[in-house]
Amino acid sequence: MDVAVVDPALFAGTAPPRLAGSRCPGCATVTFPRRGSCPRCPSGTMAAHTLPERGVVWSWTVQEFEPKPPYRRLGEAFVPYAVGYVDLGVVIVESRLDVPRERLRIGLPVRLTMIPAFLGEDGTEVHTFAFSADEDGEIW
Amino acid sequence: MSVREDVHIVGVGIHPFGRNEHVDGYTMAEQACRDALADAGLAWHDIGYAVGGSNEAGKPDTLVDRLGLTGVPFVNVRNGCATGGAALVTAAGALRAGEAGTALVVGFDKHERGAFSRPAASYGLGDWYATTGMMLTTQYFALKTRRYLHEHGIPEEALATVAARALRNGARNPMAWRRKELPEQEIMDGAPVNPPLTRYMFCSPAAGAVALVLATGERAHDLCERPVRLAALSLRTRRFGSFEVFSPWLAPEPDHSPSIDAAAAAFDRAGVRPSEVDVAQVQDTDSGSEIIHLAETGLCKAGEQETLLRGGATEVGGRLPVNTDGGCLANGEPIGASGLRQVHEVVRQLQSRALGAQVPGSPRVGFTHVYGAPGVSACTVLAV
Ligand SMILES: [Zn+2]
Repeated sequence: MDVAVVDPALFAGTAPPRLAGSRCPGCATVTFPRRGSCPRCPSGTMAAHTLPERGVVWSWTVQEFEPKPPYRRLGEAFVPYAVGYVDLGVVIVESRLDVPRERLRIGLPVRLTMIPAFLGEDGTEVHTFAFSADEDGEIW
Repeated sequence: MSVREDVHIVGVGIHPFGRNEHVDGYTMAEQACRDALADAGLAWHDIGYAVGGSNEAGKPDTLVDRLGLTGVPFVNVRNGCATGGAALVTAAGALRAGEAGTALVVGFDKHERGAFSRPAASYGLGDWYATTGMMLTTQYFALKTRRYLHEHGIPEEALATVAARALRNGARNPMAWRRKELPEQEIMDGAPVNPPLTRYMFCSPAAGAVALVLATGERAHDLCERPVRLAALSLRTRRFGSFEVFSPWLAPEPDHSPSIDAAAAAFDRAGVRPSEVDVAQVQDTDSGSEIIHLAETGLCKAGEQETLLRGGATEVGGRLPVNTDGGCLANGEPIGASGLRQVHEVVRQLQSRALGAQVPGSPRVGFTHVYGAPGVSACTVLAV
């Protein structure tokens, strides 16, 4: 890993970012994060499955007030941030949205990226995944 | 089901809902119990079976210290938002099984200001989910609401209509917490929490208590002039594909709320159609929840809500009066008491003795619905 991340288990890669999900060989259910057993069928062990990095916003909101700990903000002052669900086709993933507020809408094409989430013990930025507007995505 | 086995509600009691800073949960519960007993014309030693529910305010069975050490069997239940429903189903089951002829059900709770924050691990989630700011119940309600409004072409203004009606009904209910009416514009312009939901579109944790006295068959008619029959009570948990709080992922096209299953089962069991309901209580943790639940319970079609709301159908004098006591939005949500508050209100409506606004024209069929984390729902059909 070339950057510090909130939880390495979430990522199949960071440059470029890829999310590490899992897929059931029995019923094709895809989950995020990875898990051991299928939540839908009894068929057994889930296989590692890297999630698509492009999708569309399925729903969104803005976190207007500062959450209580264990939430950790990045800077001195709290800045509201966007959160949503992104439809990746095989699965819908909840994520921070690195999208300007005026552009937030259901159906907006987005692409996986990384954003700094908070500062670690040693002062370095700890990153998490996010989706930002996909400028090439209107062809979708 | 034979008349002899029918379970009726023959007495109700409620402690006012609100912050109730200076009263503890047991004291509120004790008052609700005494009021319900008095309403039924019974004494505590007449009660043959008791069930109590509280999520955070203590062990309900210790109420026997206050009410009397009669040796009565007293079961404690703790099922999150379905606590009231679980308490009621337990007591009704005991009566039907012939364990006793009368039962008391009590639900109470008291939550700290801004409660309901949970460590990620308790939901089987990594710390990252909370540290990156995604583990908030208000976000969940906003995300679910926005998607629902989008899919069904319902304008955001409908959210304000729901909250305005709740506060209007709350203003007339002496037991409600929030008793000040607000115009829709002020609700829309309220401090944003998680858009499209503003502060007035959310209920808050609160304190309160409700008790019910149940009796079977002829005993019920001896005790009460107009006993309310528990025509059905159904409790359901989520199935795969339900959109629940704290979900880092959803299956494509999520849609299988436990509310759909619980309501369908209750109507089926009661042999009543949703269109026959004269007064309804549906879970309104936030304005969007009420809109979603109106359709999930079958009380209307998905997308039809705006027409109902705009046309006044859900007002106290409308075709389908909803949350006539102000719902969670005006009463707050003391989890253990909230489901029983709904039953309390519908019982009083069906007896034409509401504490607040009364539905006109002698309503005969009532319905209640709770929904909560982690994907549980309980519904009742009540009838006179
Ligand atoms: Zn499977």
